Amino acid sequence: MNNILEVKDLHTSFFTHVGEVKAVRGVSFNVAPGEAIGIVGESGSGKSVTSLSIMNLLAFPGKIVKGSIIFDGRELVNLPEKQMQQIRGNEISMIFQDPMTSLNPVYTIGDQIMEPLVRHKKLSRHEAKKKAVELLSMVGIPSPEKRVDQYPHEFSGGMRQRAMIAMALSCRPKLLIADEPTTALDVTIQAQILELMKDLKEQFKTAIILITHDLGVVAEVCSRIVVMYGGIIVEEGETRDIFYNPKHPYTWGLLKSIPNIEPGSRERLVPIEGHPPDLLKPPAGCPFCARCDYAMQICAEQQPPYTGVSSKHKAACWLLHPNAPRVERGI
Amino acid sequence: MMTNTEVLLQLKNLKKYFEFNKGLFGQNKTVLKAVDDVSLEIKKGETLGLVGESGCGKSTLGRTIIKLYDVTGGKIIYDGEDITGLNDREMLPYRKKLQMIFQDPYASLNSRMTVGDIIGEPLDIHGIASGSERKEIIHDLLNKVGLTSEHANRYPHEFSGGQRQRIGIARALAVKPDFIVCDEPISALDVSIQAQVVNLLEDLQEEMGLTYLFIAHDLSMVRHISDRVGVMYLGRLVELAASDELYDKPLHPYTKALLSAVPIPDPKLAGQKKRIILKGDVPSPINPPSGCRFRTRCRFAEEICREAVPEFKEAEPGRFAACHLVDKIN
Repeated sequence: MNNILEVKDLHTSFFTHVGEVKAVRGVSFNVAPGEAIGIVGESGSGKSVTSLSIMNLLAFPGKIVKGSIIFDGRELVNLPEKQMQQIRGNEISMIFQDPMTSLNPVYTIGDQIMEPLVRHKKLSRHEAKKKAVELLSMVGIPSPEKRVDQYPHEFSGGMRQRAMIAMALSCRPKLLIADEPTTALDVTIQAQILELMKDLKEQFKTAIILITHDLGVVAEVCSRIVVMYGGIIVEEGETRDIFYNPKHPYTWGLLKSIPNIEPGSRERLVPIEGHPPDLLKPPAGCPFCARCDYAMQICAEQQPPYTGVSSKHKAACWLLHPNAPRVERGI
Repeated sequence: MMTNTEVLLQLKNLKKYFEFNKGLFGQNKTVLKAVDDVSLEIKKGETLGLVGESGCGKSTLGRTIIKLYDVTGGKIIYDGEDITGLNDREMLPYRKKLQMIFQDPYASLNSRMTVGDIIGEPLDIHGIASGSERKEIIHDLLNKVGLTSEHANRYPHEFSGGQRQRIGIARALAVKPDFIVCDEPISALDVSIQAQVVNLLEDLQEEMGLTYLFIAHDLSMVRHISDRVGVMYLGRLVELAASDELYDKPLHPYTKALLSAVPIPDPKLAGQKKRIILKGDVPSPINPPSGCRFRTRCRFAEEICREAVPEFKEAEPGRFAACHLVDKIN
């Protein structure tokens, strides 16, 4: 199967007045059509910057320094803005975390959903409006004929997020990037949105990149997981690999810091002590080294290479080196 | 952990309504019943979790308890004393006992004050300490929450979200409170940092015998930290039970739906789970449905649910629920 998206050795930096912040430092991954992958990591791990790089939406002083992003056979890095506009909102679309600030308050919901349809699909306003009503009802908004003429402030948080999804889907994109789409929402609304995303994947074979820090959400929607830390991918594998056979100490830490769902367990949570690295001065070795319980001398000196665990599962950790001491995953 | 059965805080039919004016010259008064008729007891040394969707009134309840809002009706009884009608001056001694930790660690710290002054402010207001004694207390508090005394001279912007939340906790602890309302203290933090803050709260509870009201919408974290959990919907308490019982066998249809919506961080189980998807959004609290407020989204709703408000009563020993059909559907 041909990949819809291939990201190769992506480096993205922000050139601030205090120096170069290396937010993404060599990230490579692929997405197949109809596949949902999850990018997991904490704030500052570079997951959102990766998605903005794919969308070519990096604002000054951000810049892609190196690497390539191939979408459907086309190179997106350094693509002229005119051509990027043909792709953005049409073939790749994005759902942002905060539906309140990503909708324009002075246009009706209908106008905003119609915009990509008129622009990319060259529909007339009349046709576009009909389509907008259809889309709103598809994402489960009651009385869409009435709602289409309302403004964002008349919608609740969950409805705004669904309107955003309707907008993102209006042109049937081949790739949907969802950046923390449910973080601001209640669990009941989150469940509705996740069901909707699963349907889309199955119905329209839309590929989805789901960026989140909620492992529960990923377990539910994604078949593959990419774990990011300090601007690099530390582990990548199928959802089952990551949950049941994680290899990187950071992934262990992530899994341990969520409360156990077993009844009656009031075990103490095991947090990851310390803070993420400062990417203004990225560490020479493994970015997780300073917070890692198993860190060795070499971890601080050299970045670990990827070691394949199976054909679809790899991790960047010196512990996987044949000469490294064997460490039991402490759970 | 529950060590005592003595009641520290009791709410009796507590109500908090907000009034606002609509229309030209504001002739039409509209009433928003944010908290409507909530009764519960919190025992000494216990953690009571409070969950519900946004807009259900859980934060308003927390703020009303420590009297950041005026009470519309009902009673707040703290350690045997009715504190409902106290004015600001009379309330002052109770402010030392009732403290709050806020949700947003970025907005709840004054960015122009040093961390030392932020933590020291309650000491000044209550005249607890000054001079070198004040300094010592501030340093002790910083150490207690896992920061160091050097942090006292820095400003909030120099800290990460987790560290700021620690500063907020130190400020709440400055007056040696008995009871702390934790209003979504971890929602704004990363998963790995959340666990740090939750552990800190648990340690402090053990060490200082604190009682918590823990408000959150992360249901798995609430289960972890709470002894008992209350579920709110549109201003009313719909269910209250020991946390394991509530999570294992919810009685109220709303609790069932809420719990089934929680994504399970385990791919095997996630595939098996039957999910109850609630249709639509929470109705407006300005014009809530008659009878049971949940009936518009309830799978089991019958005629009686429209007609009468269900009583919040003991359905099983130690378990309370407000549902007409509680026996029938379980």
